[in-house]
Amino acid sequence: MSEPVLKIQDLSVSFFDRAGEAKALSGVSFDLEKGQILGIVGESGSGKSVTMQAILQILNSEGRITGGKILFKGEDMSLWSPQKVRAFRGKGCAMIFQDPMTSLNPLLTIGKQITEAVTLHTGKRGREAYQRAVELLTLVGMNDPERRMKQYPHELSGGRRQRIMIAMALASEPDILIADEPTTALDVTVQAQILELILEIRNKLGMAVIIVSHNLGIIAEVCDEVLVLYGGSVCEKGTVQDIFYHPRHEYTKGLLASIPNGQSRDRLKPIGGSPVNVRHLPAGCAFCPRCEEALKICLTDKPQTLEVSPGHIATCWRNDPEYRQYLENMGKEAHHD
Amino acid sequence: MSKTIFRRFLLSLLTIILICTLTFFVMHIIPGGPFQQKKLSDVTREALNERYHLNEPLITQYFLYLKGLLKGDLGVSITDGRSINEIIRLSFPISCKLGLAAVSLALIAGTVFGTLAAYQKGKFLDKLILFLSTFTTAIPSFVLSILLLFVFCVKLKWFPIWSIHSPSYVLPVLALSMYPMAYTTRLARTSMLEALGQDYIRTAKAKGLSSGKVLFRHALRNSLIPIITFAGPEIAYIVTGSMVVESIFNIAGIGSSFVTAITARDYTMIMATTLLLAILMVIMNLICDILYQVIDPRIRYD
Ligand SMILES: Nc1ncnc2c1ncn2[C@@H]1O[C@H](COP(=O)(O)OP(=O)(O)OP(=O)(O)O)[C@@H](O)[C@H]1O
Ligand SMILES: [Mg+2]
Repeated sequence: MSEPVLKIQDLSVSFFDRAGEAKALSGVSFDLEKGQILGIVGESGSGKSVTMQAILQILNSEGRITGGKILFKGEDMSLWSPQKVRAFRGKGCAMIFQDPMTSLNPLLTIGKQITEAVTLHTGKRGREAYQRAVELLTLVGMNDPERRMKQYPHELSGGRRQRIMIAMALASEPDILIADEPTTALDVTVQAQILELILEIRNKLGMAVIIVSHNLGIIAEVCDEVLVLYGGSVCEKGTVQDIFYHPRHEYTKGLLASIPNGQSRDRLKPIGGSPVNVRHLPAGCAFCPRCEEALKICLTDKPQTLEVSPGHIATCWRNDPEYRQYLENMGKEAHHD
Repeated sequence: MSKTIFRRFLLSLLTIILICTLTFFVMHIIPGGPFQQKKLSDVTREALNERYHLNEPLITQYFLYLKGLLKGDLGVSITDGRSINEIIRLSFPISCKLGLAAVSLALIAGTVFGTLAAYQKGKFLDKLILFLSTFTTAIPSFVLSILLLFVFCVKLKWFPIWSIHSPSYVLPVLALSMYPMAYTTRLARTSMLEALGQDYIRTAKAKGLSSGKVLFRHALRNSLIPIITFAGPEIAYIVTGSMVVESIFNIAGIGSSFVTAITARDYTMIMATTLLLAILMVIMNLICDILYQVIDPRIRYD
């Protein structure tokens, strides 16, 4: 396999404020291959958005990367100059956000906001930039693009605004497109259209895509690989097959059990308890207090991240070889009796 | 759009008439009069009252005044006998020049300081600006004026004392602009902080824009509305003159005449200055409304 476009190694991010330190991320690692679509799932507060903001280095003033590395095409981004980081934003990696209602500047026309991105990343100006912006609007399936250019965000529907956000993100033909809950704020039918559009564009332009979502259905449908986050740590990562059919972390299993699907509609089971508070992370596994299968060791020691099958990793004590061995022995004993 | 403007215009006219009427009656209801305190013989006082129609019923006086107004005649100052039109013609431009200079300085500097402070939130510069603006709002303007006068005119002799022939506006403008500058600074800081926390600022950053562009192209415009709201009435107040600054710097503006007029119960002069302030206020409000619409496409009537 060639070098990944993006390599996250042991990334930790904390927010420091009056209330103390909030460990939003503690040691997250994953790779993003060229042209791959990676899905990131996890409950609210699990660190999905913070991961994305750390990649683009747009954390707010309280947030700081406290450990680990982010490598873009093999280059350590922490060594970059501010200019290089800025060039990376948009050009290397573009981002679209959850709420298209608030993500566009209400005081500037659509045209101004798109041409601004075009000029910034391609150097095109005036007529040329305008032409390119119209092209982008057509690419994202906006009808009557010339008229849209003159409109203000409040004159458009949510779905249309998200298309505008995508057009803006594509202005630079980025290597990576990050979509942080791109469809959460939209109607179901519009959701499908936006996802369709993202897939179509990926196929056309061949960029890598990260999709953050609460919606496991969306993830299963469009992603190649899935990363499951909980309390700022990776629980599990693998292909859609691995995660959806052979989950190896209790949290993933819980998530899967809590979504409605054809067979188990009446056995819908939400995960008990409330999400871990990242200001007071437990000593052991972050999920332990809510885990129905927790072992003694889960309370006191952090589980190792293990490769449970090729390309499929999980961070759960129940995958520990010693524990597996023990289970096996137990099974044998039971058999002997 | 033009229909709304016309409606607003009529409403403004009504406001002005209302303010004038109220001022007129309240002014006369308060006991006393222009010739009460002075040591005058009864005959003279009677003659003076006669001359200024002060013996007529109030309602007649009111209509007499309105009649004059319609002809563009503001009447004659009761205390010094000059025509009010003349007094305003001489003193208003001075106050206006002074006020406009001060308010421009205040708004521009205040917005810049506030924006810088917000951008540097929590850092040294922010704390310094915040401290200075709090400090400035706490000093009464007469203390500040006297301080400036003492240090720069008397001690350092950098500027001459003001006179009609060698007007030096620097110190009075400074004295006059301090309070609105401090206020604008705090206002700009708050609204800038709010603007900087918005989602579209994150979008602008994620696009790869430089901080300057994020700040000035995306955040600044969004933070201007509260400043405009403050600036409108403030401009109207400040160009009608400041009693304190004008008297301390010995400037023959309209602010000092207003105060003299009130203490002397100079009815026509009080009416004239009130009218002036009301008209300016109404005009500034109209301008603000138009500016809101220019800045924010979401605020469009009809
Ligand atoms: N500005 C901040 N100050 C303090 N803590 C923060 C800040 N931003 C995020 N956090 C913390 O970081 C953790 C992760 O937040 P993040 O926004 O990444 O969650 P998320 O997974 O995107 O959730 P959601 O699904 O709600 O968007 C949260 O627990 C939150 O408390
Ligand atoms: Mg989020």
